[in-house]
Order: sequence, then C-alpha cells, then structure tokens
Amino acid sequence: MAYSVALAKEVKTRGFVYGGLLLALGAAIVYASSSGAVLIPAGDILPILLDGLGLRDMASVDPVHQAVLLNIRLPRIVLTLLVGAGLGVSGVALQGLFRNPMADPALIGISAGAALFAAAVIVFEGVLIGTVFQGVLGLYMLPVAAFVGSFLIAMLVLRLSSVSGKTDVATMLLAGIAINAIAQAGTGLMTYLSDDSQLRTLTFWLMGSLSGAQWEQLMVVGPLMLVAIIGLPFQARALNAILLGESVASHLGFDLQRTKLLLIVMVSVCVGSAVAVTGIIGFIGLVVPHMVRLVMGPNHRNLFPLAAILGALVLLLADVASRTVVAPAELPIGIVTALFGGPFFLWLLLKRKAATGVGL
Amino acid sequence: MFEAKQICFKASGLTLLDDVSLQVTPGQVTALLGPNGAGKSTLLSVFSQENMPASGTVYLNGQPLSAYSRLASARLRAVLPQKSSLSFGFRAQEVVEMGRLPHQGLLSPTQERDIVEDAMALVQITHLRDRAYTRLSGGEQQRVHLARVLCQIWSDVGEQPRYLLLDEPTSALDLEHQHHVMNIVREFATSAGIGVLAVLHDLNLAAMYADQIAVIKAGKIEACDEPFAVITSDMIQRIFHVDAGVKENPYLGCPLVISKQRSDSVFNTLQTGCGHEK
Repeated sequence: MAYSVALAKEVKTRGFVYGGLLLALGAAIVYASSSGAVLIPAGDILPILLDGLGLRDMASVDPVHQAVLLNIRLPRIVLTLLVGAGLGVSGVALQGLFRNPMADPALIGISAGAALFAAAVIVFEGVLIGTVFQGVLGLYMLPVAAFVGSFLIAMLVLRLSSVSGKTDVATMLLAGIAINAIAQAGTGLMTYLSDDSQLRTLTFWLMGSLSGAQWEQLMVVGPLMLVAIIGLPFQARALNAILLGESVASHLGFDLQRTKLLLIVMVSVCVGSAVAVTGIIGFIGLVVPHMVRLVMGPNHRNLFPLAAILGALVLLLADVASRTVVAPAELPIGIVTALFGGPFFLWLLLKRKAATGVGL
Repeated sequence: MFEAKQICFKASGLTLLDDVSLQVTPGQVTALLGPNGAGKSTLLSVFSQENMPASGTVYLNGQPLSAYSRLASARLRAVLPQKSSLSFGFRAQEVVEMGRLPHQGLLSPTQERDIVEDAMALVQITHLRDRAYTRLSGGEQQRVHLARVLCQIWSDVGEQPRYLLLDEPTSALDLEHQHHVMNIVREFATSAGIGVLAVLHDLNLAAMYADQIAVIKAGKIEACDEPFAVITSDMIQRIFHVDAGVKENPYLGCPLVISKQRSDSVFNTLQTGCGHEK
C-alpha cells in the first residue's frame, strides 16, 4: 500500500517516545523521593506511601522517613510535576498562538506580570487582611492576583505584537523586554516598600523556588493548573489551524476570538498559579516544546501531552539538582533552569540565523 | 448559488467596494479580473466572511451568511489565500489533512484517508507527502494548499452545492502548473458541481478556463458575462490602459488577447503588465 511511510514510522516513534518519557519520569520520581539530606531507601517508598494512605499498616516504616517523604518531599514533587507540566503546555499554547517558536511565558513578560501582582499582594497583605477582597478569596488571593497580572500582560503583548492579524516576532520579544523591565521595576518598588520578613519572602520567591510546597497550598493551585494542563490539549486542532494563519483558521471554521481568549485565560491561570507558589521559573516553556518538536514534529496533538510529560521530567531533574548539588543548601530553581535554558535559547538563535540568514 | 448583493465596504474612510453584486454559480468557474487595488481580494474576503460589509448581504445557498455558524459555512466553502505563511515543519500530508478539520467525526477514518489520498493524487503531490512543508518550493507549497482546500469541500454535505474561493491561485506557479491547477479547478467544478470564484491576473488564463468573467475597477463591477462578451479590446483599454487586440483562439475557440505594443513586461500575452501604467 502506498500509504505514508512516515506515518507508520511516526506511530512507532510515538510509542517509544511516550513509553521512554513515562519510564524516565517514573524513575525520576523515585529518585527525587529517595535522595536528599535524609536518604530514604527506594524500597521503603512504597511501604511508606501505603502506610501513609492508611491502606496497610507497616510496622517496619521509619517514622522520620515517613514524615520527610509525606510532608516535605511528596508535596514538593507533586508541585514540581504540576508546574513543569503547566509551563510546558503553556509554552506550547503561546508558541502556537503567536505562531512563533520563540514565545515563552517568562520571555514575553507574562510571568513577570504575575510576579508583580503577587508581590503587591504579599506586601500589601496587611492592608488587605480583613477586607472583602481577602474575605472572599482567602487562600486564592495570591493565585488570583497572579492570574490577573499574567492575563493582562498576555493580552497586552498579543495586542502590541499583532500587525494586521500577524504576529511580528521582533515586536513580540521587544514588547516582552519592555514589559519585563516595567514589571521588574514595579516588583522592585514592592521590595522597597516591604518590611524585613516580607523582603525575605519576596527575594527568595522571586528567584523561583519549589521548596515552599505544602499540601494545603497545593489543594488551592493544583486544581487550577490541572484545568489548564488537561484543558489546553483540547485546543490542539485549533492551534494546528492557527499555525496556517489566522484567516485560514477562520476559513476552516474556528471561532478565533473565542479560541484565543480561551487559550490566554488557560495559560494565565496556569502561569499565574505556578508563579504564585514558586516565583518565576524561566525557559521550561521555551525549551521543552522545542525538544518535543525536534523529535515528533509540530503537530499539537502530540506536542501538548509530550510537553507536559517532558516539562514535568525536566523540572523535576532541575529541582533534584538544585537541592543536591550544594546540599545541605539549595540553589534557587530559577537559576538552574536559566543556566541550561539560556544557552539553549542562544543555540536556537544561531540555528535560525544559519537557516534563514537572519537572527529572528 | 453563492451570491453577493449590493455590497459596500469601507476601510479607513475609503470606499473599497461600492454597491457590488456578484453571483457564483455551482458547476461554473467565475474569474474575477481587475487592476491592482481594484477590490478583488476585498470582494473575496467578503465572500469568505473575513470582512463584514458595511451594507449588503452575502447569500450562501439562499441563506444569508450570518445565518450559518462558522463551522457550517466552512463545510460548504473553502478559501485558498494568495499567500500562506507556515513556519513550522509539518509534513505536506499533515497540511492537506487540515482541510478535513471542519468535518471531524462525520466520516469514518477510512473515508477521511481516502479523501486525502484522492486530493493529493489529483493535485499530483502524493510524492511530496512525507516532505517537510517548509522545505518545499513556493509552487509545491501552493499545490499542497490547493489539495488542502479541495479536501475541505470534497465530501457532500446534505446535498448542498459547495464553493471554492481562490485568490490568485497561479501566481507562484510555472506555466505547466498554472494550466495544471486551472484544469483541476475546472474539472473539479464541473464534475462535483462546485462553484468557483477565482481572482486572476492573466486575461488569457481567465479566457481559457472561466465560464463567466467579472471585471472590477475602483470597487465597482464594470462587466460580468461570458468570456467573449467581457474580453474585448475596448475593455482592456478602458480597465487596464493597455492597447491590445482580441482574436479567437484557433485551437480552443476562446478569446485570445494579443498585445499591440511592446513594453518592458508585456510581450504576446498580458501576464504581469496588467496593473502597470506606461
């Protein structure tokens, strides 16, 4: 039969890629659970979990190991997986929406916008406590503020960088630089206004950190991020069509205004929630979709789920590195991702330059 | 029938379409000719719902376009834009398959696959199916998109006539492929009862393949009739300011435009010189 050879090959590759990544993710989760200041033997992890969930009474379980795993490592791992997957799919969605592989939540200022609004909430918490605002939102106050910040910035960048329905890359990146600068100035102002304890919180949080993970916090932002991680892949077809051009997508029957709004809201919810808990973690949204595209091509049907898995994997590895390299101290995760993401971005620019003769 | 009635369209204070009416008949090829900036693409964009007219209505099979959902109209009409910008490396076949997006879930996967196969075979791009779109030549890319839009209106949707809108479909193609594409479009129109509206620049190409030719200038339809009635020496002088004669093509029996004077870009045929003032 003359049917596409590449398709048959793709189906096979897809099996390998999904299988391989899931296996690697499983191994990384086990490794992340066991390594750290307190070494928990890998064989003890399952009994501890079973005991913790009350499924089986394990007499052999070390209570210290159990406390470390259940209260410190596990929430951190779950948070890392969610944030990594969330940033991965957000990067995919933004790159599709902007029809440009250079888009990334941190690069174009969406994360900075979220950070600014979140910082404002941290600093003005004293003023806000007891107000209707805090009364209604409660624990959701920080993620909601971060969402509002990221949504406003995303809309602004989209508006700024569209020239008669097309996205101008240079404008998009330059707008990102300007917005990052403004948001950082705003955040700087917040640190100036903050007292000593707020300053500590702010500084550590701004560099990006997964160490603050707690179950009650996860209960708040986890579902929000899951909505985006599960919801975004349903836009795969529309995004494929958008890559052909916005007018083509509308000729193919997609309601673009609705699709764009939906995408931006979901990305903002995802990035906003992530930033509210972990601060700014850059480059995951840029690097991960690229790596998937290199192997599986640009089709969003594969891109979304694979970027979610790979994003979770990469961030988990980065986090393990951040807390083991200089143990017992910890490197901020934002620094780790920037250390390998920055050079990757440069390599990307060089590759484009070689292919097209121009930088962008 | 796909029909624009008394369309007026304004953009930034300029009237781009002024009381324009045009009918696209199922099974026929209608060519839209006119100088650069006359409003050809604008009229096409009103048909394709990209632009809302200030006044007037477009009717698709008797119903105003606004009565259709985006998806419903996407199943009945396909649009081939003048230029497509796709900077992601889809395989050619994946691009063609996107034409089936409005029909998701209506046909079986085998039927869907057959349609894609047939469309690629018709446009003769089957050999390109596994190539990255970004690595194809301009002409090959254009043919991939042609296969995509043919796919979009390939299957019958409730026995309603379907339509194809083409914006300069031959502009990136060499001579062989220009005729190849126009032949495909023409055969597709007659065999499947598709109504075609094609913006063209080449008068002879229009004369050879169109059943009906409409000429637009400064946002107004100047003529709309069968080729011999429209392609006249007088019209070419009046609309395009080119001195040309019209004979009967001895082989095909259609009008043949012959230049009476030489200019830098016009030799025997008026391919690219249409909009140039001399």
